[in-house]
Amino acid sequence: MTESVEREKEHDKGPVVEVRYLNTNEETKFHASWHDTLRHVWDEGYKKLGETRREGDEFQCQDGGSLMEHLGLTLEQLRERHICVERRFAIRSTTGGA
Amino acid sequence: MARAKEVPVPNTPARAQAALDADLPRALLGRTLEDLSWERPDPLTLFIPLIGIREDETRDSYLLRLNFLYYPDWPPSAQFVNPEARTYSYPDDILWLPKIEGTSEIAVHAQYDVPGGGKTQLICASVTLEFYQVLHAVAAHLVWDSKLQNFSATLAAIQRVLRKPYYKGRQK
Repeated sequence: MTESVEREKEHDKGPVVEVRYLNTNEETKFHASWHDTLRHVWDEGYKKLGETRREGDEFQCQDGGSLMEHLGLTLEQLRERHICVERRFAIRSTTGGA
Repeated sequence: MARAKEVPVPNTPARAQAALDADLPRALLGRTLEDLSWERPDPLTLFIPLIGIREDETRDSYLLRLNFLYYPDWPPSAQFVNPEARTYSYPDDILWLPKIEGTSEIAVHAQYDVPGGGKTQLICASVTLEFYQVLHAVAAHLVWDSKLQNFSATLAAIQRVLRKPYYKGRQK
């Protein structure tokens, strides 16, 4: 199967996203819609992981880049802008310190 | 259960080891200690190699020692150590500490006073044991909660600041 056909199939089904909860390192993978916003994916991530949002939680790409400025973007827009293209996300909680 | 401004109490070694044994597979995600170059020299200690990546992509190696005697009610002890001696001696081993700037969430102090006497290296974040041993103030919602967190949270918090824009090279 060619890469373009695979990409077309993925486009039809909606992309697989991965969300890791950094407090425990638990992770979940699920199909989303290209029209889902990042904020929706973040909310779904909590549900799939059985976790609840903590004050100060942030959504980020697993490479460490914050996505907090992009929560209103859809997965389609994220792909077009080449942001977190692997769609491997993480939820991190803030720490007190310094 | 952890509380701010309360002196941590050690767990029994058997309970602490059981907690580490339970949480380790989640941290490893199907990989082995050898796969990740982690070491477990005794039942309550992990040595974890970490890499600091500077703005110019220069990479520096570090070795983090986690000790779990107070775990899971309190977070693991976390200290950067000399990779050869596998201990930390101030001031000779400052070289093995990362310089972290630009965040209020974490700092690395080469030496910090412990109330009641003594000094310690302090990775100053609410996910390390030493943070509570120095009786650091912290907002209630940031206090370590073993029902919601395991030592992966400690590791994630430290790894996060070993990248730009926070990581600025070695301390010396």
